[in-house]
Amino acid sequence: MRDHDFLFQGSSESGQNRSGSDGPFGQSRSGSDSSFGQSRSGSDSSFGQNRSGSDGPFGQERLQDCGRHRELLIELKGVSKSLDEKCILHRLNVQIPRNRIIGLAGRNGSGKSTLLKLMAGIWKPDEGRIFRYTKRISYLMPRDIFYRWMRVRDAVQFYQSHYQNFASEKACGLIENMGFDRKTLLRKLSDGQRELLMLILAICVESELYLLDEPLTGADAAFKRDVRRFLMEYLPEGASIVMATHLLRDFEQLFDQILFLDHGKIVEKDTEELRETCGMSVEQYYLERFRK
Amino acid sequence: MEFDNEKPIYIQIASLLKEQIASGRRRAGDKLPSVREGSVLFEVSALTMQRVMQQLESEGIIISKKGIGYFIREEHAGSLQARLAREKTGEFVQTMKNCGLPLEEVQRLIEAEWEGTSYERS
Repeated sequence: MRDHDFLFQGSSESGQNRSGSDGPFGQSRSGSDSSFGQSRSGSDSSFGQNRSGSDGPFGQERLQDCGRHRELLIELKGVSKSLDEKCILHRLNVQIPRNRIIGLAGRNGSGKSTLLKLMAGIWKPDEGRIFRYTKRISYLMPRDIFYRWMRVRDAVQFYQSHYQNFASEKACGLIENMGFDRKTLLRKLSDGQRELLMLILAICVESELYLLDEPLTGADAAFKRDVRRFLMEYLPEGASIVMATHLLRDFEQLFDQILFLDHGKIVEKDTEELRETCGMSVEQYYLERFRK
Repeated sequence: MEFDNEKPIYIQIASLLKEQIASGRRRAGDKLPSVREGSVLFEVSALTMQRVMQQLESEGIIISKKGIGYFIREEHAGSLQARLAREKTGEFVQTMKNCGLPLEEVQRLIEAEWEGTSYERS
């Protein structure tokens, strides 16, 4: 559960201001191990440097700072990260603009999840700096994150109490439309259903950036196709998505850009340009260039 | 909606819309789906839909009215059918020539395809 507590901390935009007693994961919020808390006061965050400490999450200085970077949501400069003394990411420079759907591809262990966790603020980089020009970031939770006794309605309630900007009505409507019974125990749902529920909850946190780590590994083929429409329909206007996925064939038509992670380095391509200049699909390009 | 992932998606959507205009399914003066509606309809990003609109606008097929949407231009709806036919025929003829097929054979192929019967090479 420890790692999961981190997730809630890192992705909650309101976590710091809340008392911590109103949710099932409340206690961990006051813990000093919050990576978000650390990065705010640490030198790796542009926010940290500008904050005077007493004003709200959107202090005056920060809004001005945002003005210079209207086009960007997140910027990673020279970011490195090692896990268990193995270098996963090496001096990466990545920019995530607004209004973009971005795919993240790479073999297992290439650092896709690590990169998303760094962007979310769940982990801190060993080296380099991460500039976040928005606080409105929603990170997709793993499907097995909730307690065993929780029902669908408890998961919704958790989000309601944890996120100030959670669109409850939208979530309840979607949950009903997708055929969920609010009284069903989460552990009785299939893997695919739980993934869908987590995706609905993540999308209903009104944000500017959605970080989706392998959103659908357990879903069936038909649903994977439905999800493209679902995302385009319910994504707030102007928001961006960074999606780590192995399902390039299913999702590449959504992507404006693709980031390939390979041996700690990143290769970035405009998907339409790639199709135009190379005459091949993103999946073919990936298989030929990175999987040989 | 499924696309051929080996070709730019925005060109495929633009072609589809042009075909709909040429066939009369969308008429002169009609409003096209908004960028948002198009992105849900075709299951592509808003940026791709913006590219589609830019493409159609640069070809003079649609006109953007600020704050209202994209509309099919009166003067071009009629000529689009002929233009599209010329373009597609040009591509097709070139491919057939590259394959080394004589005109008579290609004509027979077209006729058979038009009638919906499979053509056996004599």
